[in-house]
Order: sequence, then C-alpha cells, then structure tokens
Amino acid sequence: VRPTPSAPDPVAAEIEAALASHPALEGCAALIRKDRTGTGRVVCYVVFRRGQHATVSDLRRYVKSRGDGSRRAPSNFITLERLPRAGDGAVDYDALPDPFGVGDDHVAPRTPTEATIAEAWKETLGLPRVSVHDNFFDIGGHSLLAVRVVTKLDKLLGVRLSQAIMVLRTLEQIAAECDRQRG
Amino acid sequence: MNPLYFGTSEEPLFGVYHPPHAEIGREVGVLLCYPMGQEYMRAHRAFRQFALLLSRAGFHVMRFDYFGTGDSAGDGSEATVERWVEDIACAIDELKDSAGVERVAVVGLRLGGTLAAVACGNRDDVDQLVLWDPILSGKQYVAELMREHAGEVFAEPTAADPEKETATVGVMGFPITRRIRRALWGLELAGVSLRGGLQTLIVVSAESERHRSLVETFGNSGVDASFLCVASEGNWNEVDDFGSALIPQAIIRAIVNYLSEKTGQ
Repeated sequence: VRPTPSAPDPVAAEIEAALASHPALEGCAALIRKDRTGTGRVVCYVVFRRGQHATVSDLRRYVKSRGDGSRRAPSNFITLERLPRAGDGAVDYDALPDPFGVGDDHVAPRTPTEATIAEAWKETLGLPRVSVHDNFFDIGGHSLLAVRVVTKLDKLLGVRLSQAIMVLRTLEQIAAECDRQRG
Repeated sequence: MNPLYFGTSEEPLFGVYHPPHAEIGREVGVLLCYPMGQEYMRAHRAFRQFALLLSRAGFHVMRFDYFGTGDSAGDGSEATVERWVEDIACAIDELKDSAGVERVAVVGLRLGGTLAAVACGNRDDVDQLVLWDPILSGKQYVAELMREHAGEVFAEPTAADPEKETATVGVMGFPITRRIRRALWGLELAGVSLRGGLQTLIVVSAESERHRSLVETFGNSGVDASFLCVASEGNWNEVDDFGSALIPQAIIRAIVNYLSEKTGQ
C-alpha cells in the first residue's frame, strides 16, 4: 500500500514558504512523504525559471538560511516542468509524483507476450520472478545472456530483437515491440 | 531513484540517490565511487545493479559523476585529482542530507577506490570503506593505460600539445592532462592514511599478493582491514565491439553481504 500525500503539514508549509522566495524558482511545493521504511521525509517539488538552475545543496542551504536554524531541512528535491494545479488554481498535492514508489513496485506479466518474455528471462537469469518494469541488464543480465534470450524469443515469438532494445527497454516495452512486429 | 544535481550551482555534480527499497531500512548511506574512462563505461551497468541490490537490502545509496566526467559540469581539461577527491567528500555530505543519515559506507571501484580512501580515510562519519579492485599505484595505472592505448596513439598522433598544462590526451576514454598524470604519479594506496578502527575491505576479482598485503599495511596503523578474493570477471579496461558492460555479480553480492553484516541491523 503506497502512502498517499495529504495537505501539507505545518513543517512542510513552512519550508515551502521559505523556498518560494528563491530567485531561481518559478514555483515550488513541499510535502512530507513516507518512504518504503515508513519514515516521513520532506520532499520539495521545484519548477525553475527559464534558464535558471540551482543544485539541491544550494536549495537546501537557502531553506536553512531563511530562519533561525531550527528548521528541518528538506531531504529530497524533485524538478518538475510545472506544478499540477486543481480547478481553483491551487497546487494539487495529490497529483505530485511519489519519489519513493514510482515504477518500483513488482508488476507481474499481464499479457501472453509479457509472460513468454518473463519466462525466458527467469530461466536465463535463474530468478524466481521478474517485473514488467524490470530492465534485463539491471537484474543481472549481460551481453552473452542477452544473445541467448534474443535467440529464445526468436523461436518462441518469431521476433528477432536487437541487442539495443534489451539494453534500453523494460520487459513491458519489449513485449509491446514484439506485439507491434507481429502485427 | 532520484536523479539530482548537487554541490555548487556554478559547477553542479550529477548524482542519483536510491532510497531504501525495503520495509526495514538501515540508518546508513552507501556512496558508490565510479572508476574513470573506459572503466566507467564498463562499470556503469554494474553500479546501477549494485545500487538496486543495496537499496533492496535497506541502504540509502548514491552514485555520482566526478567533475568533468559523465553528466557533471566541467570538461576533462579542467578536472584534477584533487577536485575528484573533494567531489567524493561533497557527495558524502549530499548523501547524508538526502538520506537523513549520519553514518556512511563508501565503496570505490579501481581508481574510485583509491580516491575514496584519500577522501574519507580520516572522516569520522565513514564507518566502512570497500576498495574493489583498487589501483595500488597511480604510476603503474597511468603506464598501464598508456600501454593499452599505445596502438591507437601510434596509428593517429594526437594534436594535443603535451607541454600545455591543460592539454588533454584521451587514453582509453580517460582524458588525461599533465597535471592529472602528475597527481596520479604520486598516488600510492599503501601510503594513504586511514583512521584507526575504520572497517576496510579490500575485495579483488583475482588473487593478488600485493592487494592482500594491504591488510597488513593498513592493520599496522590500527585499521580493521580484511581481504576477500571473489574470482570473477575483472578486466575493466577491455574494449570490445559491443561496448559490453561487465557485471560481476558474485563480487557485488559479496559486498552487499559484507555491508549488511557490518551495519548489523
């Protein structure tokens, strides 16, 4: 179960207010989010003015400098193109991305093609399970094993994949490419 | 994972922070220090996988690019060994801030290991130092790179002026200036001062008496040093037609186990 964001608590609101006056920022929002371990962490979402940038170290220093030094420092910063807004123009905190969960959850294969590829990966890598969000190389694959998988999938699906697709894409994306090639 | 720029806004360093991906987290951050040049290319995938496994073991993890390398600011001609050492110190501070932890372990591969020893050997917030196939002698390392690169150099002489302080010669993907070469020339891992009690693991992919002897050298100054040989692929400088990555999983698992055991949570 993923923690859901709520309206900013007073600590986050104070940090958001301090950060808002940074000259490089067009907008910002701050939330307390729970990470996987259940620890609450101050996450700041920032939108930079065109041509302006600042490192997270400088942003953190800036927040600390705008007070008596007792303020809790933000842990993480996420750069956005724009802040999500609700109908009334206020920041939609529920729509802000979760840096502790996105794309990391295990998702079992959902289509026959995904299942075939997953079986080939599991067999080749000796893993009990793979997620559709996994990348072959990230979970232990290397070039020679990739060649084996490509050959196997050629036999099973009649699709000849390039080595590059194995390097760059996730299982889900590779399955979509296979389906596309098979028409 | 959370990509970020840290350090000064004028010369930002690129890093990726991986929060713990486990229900029970450890109050410890692990900083991964890349090797250089061709070795960086070969190690990139291994480091991604390494970070993933560490985060699944409950660690906060950060990997980053040194100044003048990868996606960080600066180019090869501006980089210095001293700056890279400072970058490691800066990355440790950023990891502590991002993760909200006070204790850190540092893992460095090849030159990254040697630089890590210089950068954090005397910090009191670093409890574990893992030197993975570390460069023992900067002088020998440069000679090795030059030897590997010799064929290419003879085939196509570089236009760079070796007398200029910032003239860059690309050696195995490693832009080496005279001042970098000079700094590496004087770098000897056995001569690096490490604080007493620092838990230090020297882990190698092939048996090496010289690496093994570091345990005694460091141990003599009170360092809690140990040695581990995990026979696996270790040719970090190899260049093949596919630009293949090297992912020695046995060593990666061994280091994850070592850190899990030492941090004991």
